[in-house]
Amino acid sequence: MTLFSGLWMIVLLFAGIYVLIDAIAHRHRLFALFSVLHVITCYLTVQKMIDIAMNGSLTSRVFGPIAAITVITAVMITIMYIWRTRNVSILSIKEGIDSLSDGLCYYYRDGRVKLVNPAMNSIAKDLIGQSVTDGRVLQDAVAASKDNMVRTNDGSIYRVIVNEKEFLKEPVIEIIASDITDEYAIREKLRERKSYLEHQRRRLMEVNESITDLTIEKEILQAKINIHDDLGKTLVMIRSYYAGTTSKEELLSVFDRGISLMDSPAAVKRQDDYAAVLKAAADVGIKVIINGQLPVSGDDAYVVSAAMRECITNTFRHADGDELTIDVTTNDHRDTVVTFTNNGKPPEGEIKETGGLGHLRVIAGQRGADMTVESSPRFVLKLTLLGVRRYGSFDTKGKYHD
Amino acid sequence: MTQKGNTMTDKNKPYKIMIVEDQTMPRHLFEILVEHAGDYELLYSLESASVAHIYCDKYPIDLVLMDVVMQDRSSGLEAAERIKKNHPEIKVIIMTSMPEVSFIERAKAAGVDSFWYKEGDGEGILDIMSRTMQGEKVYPAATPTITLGNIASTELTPTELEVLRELTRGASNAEIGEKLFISPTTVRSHISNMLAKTGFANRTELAIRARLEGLVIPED
Repeated sequence: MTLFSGLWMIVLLFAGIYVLIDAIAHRHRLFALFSVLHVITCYLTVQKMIDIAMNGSLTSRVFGPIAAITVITAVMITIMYIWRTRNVSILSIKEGIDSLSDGLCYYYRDGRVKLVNPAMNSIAKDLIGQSVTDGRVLQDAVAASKDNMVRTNDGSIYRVIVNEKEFLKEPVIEIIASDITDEYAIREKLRERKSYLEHQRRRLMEVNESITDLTIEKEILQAKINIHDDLGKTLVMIRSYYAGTTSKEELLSVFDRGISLMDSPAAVKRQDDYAAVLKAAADVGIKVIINGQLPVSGDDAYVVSAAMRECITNTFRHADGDELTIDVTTNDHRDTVVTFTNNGKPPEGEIKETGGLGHLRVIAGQRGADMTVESSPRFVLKLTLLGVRRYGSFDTKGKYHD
Repeated sequence: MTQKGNTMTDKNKPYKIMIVEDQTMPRHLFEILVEHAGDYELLYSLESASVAHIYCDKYPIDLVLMDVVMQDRSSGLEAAERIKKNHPEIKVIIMTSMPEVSFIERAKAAGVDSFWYKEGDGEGILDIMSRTMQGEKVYPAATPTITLGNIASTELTPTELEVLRELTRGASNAEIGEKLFISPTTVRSHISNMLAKTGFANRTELAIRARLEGLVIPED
């Protein structure tokens, strides 16, 4: 029994010493006080127990109270330890703040630092050459950084946010530096990737534009090959003629075709939208009178040329006319208004926008133009092209004049 | 644009032909072929499909030889559809050098009478013209097969070809998905499948090769 009690007291003694050291390390004053009391009482108890063991007697007036105090302090320390691990204290908060990888700094408006953690001090050393002693110096350095991001010497990147808070009714500036090194690396990779894809996409669109030209070249080459083959056949037929197996008429027919092929007109430059329409009008006997300046290119020219085609057809097919007039004006909103009328008979009843007119309305809508059609007292088609335009002019032969 | 004539006996009036071909040399070649064929009279030779319907509305044309892809961006297929709708009696033969997979189906849907690939010789078109005017519909059995990377073009599924067509416009996955009513993830999957099949390094290379070969042509 005495041996057991003695051993137990020795254990309590060493536990008390451990708690004392821990309390001193973490600056827990209350813990330290109880621990000191506990260690002393434990020591006295152990010493008394040794005396008793050596002298053979357990009785002592002092032994009881000392032992009791030892047990009580042990219990108190245990309760306090449990409470400490389950509750957040100011010191535990400080512990947590100090262990953060993100930087934290709180200071008053006059620059006095209220709280700064080791991470922020480390950032500050790279940023301003020293730990934070005046918060305003740190804030100025952060304000000078691009996009509120700072890079430290070890390559880490922090996003810095500055806020104003209130502490005990006094304004306090808060600076938080969040470590975004990994996210920044990923963002940079994504940005490069996006830039590369956008570049490839633009190149692809350019290639698409030029493919048609390549196709044209391909078709021209094929035509040249066909002509070459035809000329080859002509030479063979000449030999055949001299051999008596081909008639003169057959040979001359092949000659004629070969000469026609070699007499191909030079490739002409691609015509613009209006030239084809105006030539078609001339071919079908429609005179086109243009008053004003038509849009030169882009969506507006596309819509106007489409409208010209519809109105040319309408003039000879439905109105029995031979003249189409196109008036180009500007309204109060600086929109361009293109009005189509003809010299034929008026429509019989309300015009139903089917077929070509219906398709024209879709085209106009897709390209931002407004279209109106009047049936009475005469046919009028009006296109309103929004915005400011700069135009050249086309003559009735389709030739452009700036 | 030219208008020419030819003489025939009174018994057999020549068929009136209109050629719609934007390139001068091929157009001239067709003009000569038609002129020397004997059964035909070349009425008009146009450079743009956009005005073809105007001539068909005005003149008694029997047969139109229509190119598909024009430099002025007008569509021969759209022009053919309009002509067939307003004048079903006019025969239309579509001519193209592009192996674009959708052209044949679109031509059939438009009511086009016959379809001819230009890669053949000039005599082929005369035969097709003759058969077409006799009431026959002459279509190739299939689109020409081209090699795309490690595979033949026939190994791509219809959906993959639709995605590829939009890809050649430089559209993003989201834009392709919106156009085809599928998710961007599905679009990405189709592109990945095509890259795996063809062996091309990236989507740009895939799109460029497909476009160069004429396998797919964006509608705009």
